[in-house]
Amino acid sequence: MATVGTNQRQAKLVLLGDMGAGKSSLVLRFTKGQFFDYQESTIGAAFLTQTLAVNDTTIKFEIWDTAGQERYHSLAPMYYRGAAAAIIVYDITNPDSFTRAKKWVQELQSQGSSNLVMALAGNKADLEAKRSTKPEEAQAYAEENGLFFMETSAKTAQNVNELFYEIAKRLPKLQPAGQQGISLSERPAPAAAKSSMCCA
Amino acid sequence: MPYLSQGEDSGNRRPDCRLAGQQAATVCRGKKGEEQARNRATLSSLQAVEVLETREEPSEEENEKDGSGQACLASSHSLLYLKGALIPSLEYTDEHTGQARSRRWNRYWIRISSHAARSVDYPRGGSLVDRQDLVERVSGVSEFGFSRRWNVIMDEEYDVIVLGTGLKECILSGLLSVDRMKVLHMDRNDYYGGASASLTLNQLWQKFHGTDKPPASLGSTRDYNVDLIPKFMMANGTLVRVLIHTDVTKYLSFKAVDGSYVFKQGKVYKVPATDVEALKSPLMGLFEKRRARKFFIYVQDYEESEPKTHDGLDLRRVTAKELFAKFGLEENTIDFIGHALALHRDDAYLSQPAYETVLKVKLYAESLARFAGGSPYIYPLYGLGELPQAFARLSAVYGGTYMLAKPDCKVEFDEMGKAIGVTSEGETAKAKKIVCDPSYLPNKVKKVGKVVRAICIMSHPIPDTNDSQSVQIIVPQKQLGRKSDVYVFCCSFSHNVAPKGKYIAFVSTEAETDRPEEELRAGLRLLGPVDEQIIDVYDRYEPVNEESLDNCYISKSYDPTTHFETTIADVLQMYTRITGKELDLSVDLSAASAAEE
Repeated sequence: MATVGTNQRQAKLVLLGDMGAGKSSLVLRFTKGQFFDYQESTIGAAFLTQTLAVNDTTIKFEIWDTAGQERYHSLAPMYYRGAAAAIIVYDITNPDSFTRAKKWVQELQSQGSSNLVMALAGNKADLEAKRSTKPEEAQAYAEENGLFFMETSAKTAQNVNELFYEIAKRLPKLQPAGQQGISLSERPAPAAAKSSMCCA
Repeated sequence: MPYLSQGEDSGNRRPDCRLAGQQAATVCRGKKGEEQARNRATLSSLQAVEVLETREEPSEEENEKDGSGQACLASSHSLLYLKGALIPSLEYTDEHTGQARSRRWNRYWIRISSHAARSVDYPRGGSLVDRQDLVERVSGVSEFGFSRRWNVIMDEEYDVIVLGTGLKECILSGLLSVDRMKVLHMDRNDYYGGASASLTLNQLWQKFHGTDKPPASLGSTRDYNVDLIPKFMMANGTLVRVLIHTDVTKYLSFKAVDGSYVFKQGKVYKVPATDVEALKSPLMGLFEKRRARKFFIYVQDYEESEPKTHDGLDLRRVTAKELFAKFGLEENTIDFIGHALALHRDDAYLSQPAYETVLKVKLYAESLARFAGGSPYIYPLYGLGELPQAFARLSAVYGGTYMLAKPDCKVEFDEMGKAIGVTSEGETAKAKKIVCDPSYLPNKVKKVGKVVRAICIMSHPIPDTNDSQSVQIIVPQKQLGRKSDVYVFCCSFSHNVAPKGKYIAFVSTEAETDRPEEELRAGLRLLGPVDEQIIDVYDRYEPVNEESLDNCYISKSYDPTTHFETTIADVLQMYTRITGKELDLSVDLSAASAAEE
């Protein structure tokens, strides 16, 4: 759903990964600069937006959260629809979460669009003492599967902005002209309302 | 509840919490020496008290060697830490005295099931927070979201269990979750949408031909989103208001539908909806156009609150037939106004007060004006199957729990015939109310009709519709000598429901004979040649149960109309019966009309 405007583009970014891997914390760190040691699992918010400037382009990320639907494998296809980027998050201290991250990559490859930018984030890098997944292992997996890999810590902010910048840089310069529809929730200026019709 | 039974072991010397809704939690005081007789507490807030953080935290509890103290830290329990300000105090019942008491701890562990425990730190002071209060407090903590029941298991009690992820059920699930009800939503299928899903080509072939090998000439299976219940949305209609009310619009993208046509004496005509269009329409003769123009001006100007616009007619008493007679309209004109503009499905409305018909015609005209398209209708990109998914996401965002691919989903009843829960795969979830589509409670519904429809894949737009890439044609019953209208619906790649160059057309009607296929013939003739055609006949059901006696709220099957007005009416009525309140969409009405300007 990335759109080309006057040097401003919008890109839908989805988060995937096990419960507790730190998906919401990463986003919260990125968008608000906040971190809560005991971030509650997510409810009540659909997505956040954050704008990043990369070179001469600003990219407005529209970040979608799983809303818990990953839990019983009930994520709707709509979640992946039109996503320009995805971050698959695992917890470096939890080997299961790395195994599950690989499953999410497979799911994305079957559901998502082919030019999706995929990032693998090994989160909770501050908990080095409890590490169970080696960065080399994740790096090798990422390379094999066309992802880029970073270890992050939402707690210390390590690599969080870097992760999103890297995604922004990798977004294709020109997205294929996606279908743009009417947004019912926004109040279009009369001219804008008309232009949204021209593709109809 | 394995943990609760531990908590009930005699000899447990720690306070024990019982959560509202029969969830169980154990509250252990962390401070040793603060010996307390075993207490039962009600923590009505627990639904919202959840933290994802799992940690193994050493604790003074380890020193407690009595049964549950050990269990608290042994094995793989996760300890969850809750932010301090959230729970100022906890109320509980002292088991020895039976008195309700309130207690403030500095720190305690809460374990909700056998798999998790949490420790809670909070300041002294404050009072019991109820769930709503807590939800509000927590939601203030982080904009990204607040806590969700983190340990949802089947052996729990819900306010509502919803069965089937059809559009009606998903809207209800979303509305009820937003109302802070605890909702479990299950579907026997592994996809969202139930009877109102949109299928890929492979899924479509699987369903109707028993093979997932459609002809290669049709293109990629994933480029198709074929609605099982095709419908367009009136741009200012109730569904749009519900979408705006719930803010679900942000998950969806819509495009206007190109054309709205009506069938008259073997040909199709654009439906005129305003005085200007009436004058241009070849649908009427010269004098009739002028009469129709006067009628449209009357309708456009009509405001119930302004008697001078009434022209001396009390529309709540005057019938539609009398109103048409006053303007001297011909039968064919009445036919398209009643069926293609007011969207009546038969002619019963003629003897009803004209008020409703006038409002519906106004709605049509206002919707037409809203997006300046060729029709009053809009339709979501990627098909209608997006709608149930969007409402399911709303429900999940507000804490609803989703489980797909749950076989059986058997509703359980007590000896009085009241529904008490749902069993699937050997686990029973309890609930106060059950909401479902007719297929989940076949014994509580009756067959009220039969819908026949043709699903056609074509490589051209419907002829004589100005090459519309999306279009509705209504064939009023009278034109065919039938009792109910025939609906033609066409969508294409322009709404991302088919590959480039392909069109999907549907012809549907209420079956009136035992050779329903033939009833579609007049509609099919309008399509021209088709690449593939599937005929489907399904029964329509309506509930016959007494909701107050069995706690089961069953939706009606989808009718053959190509618009949502009847669908949403059913949903809103169900919402009112379930919650005892009306969904207030009036505010959103003005918001919706503001967006037009």
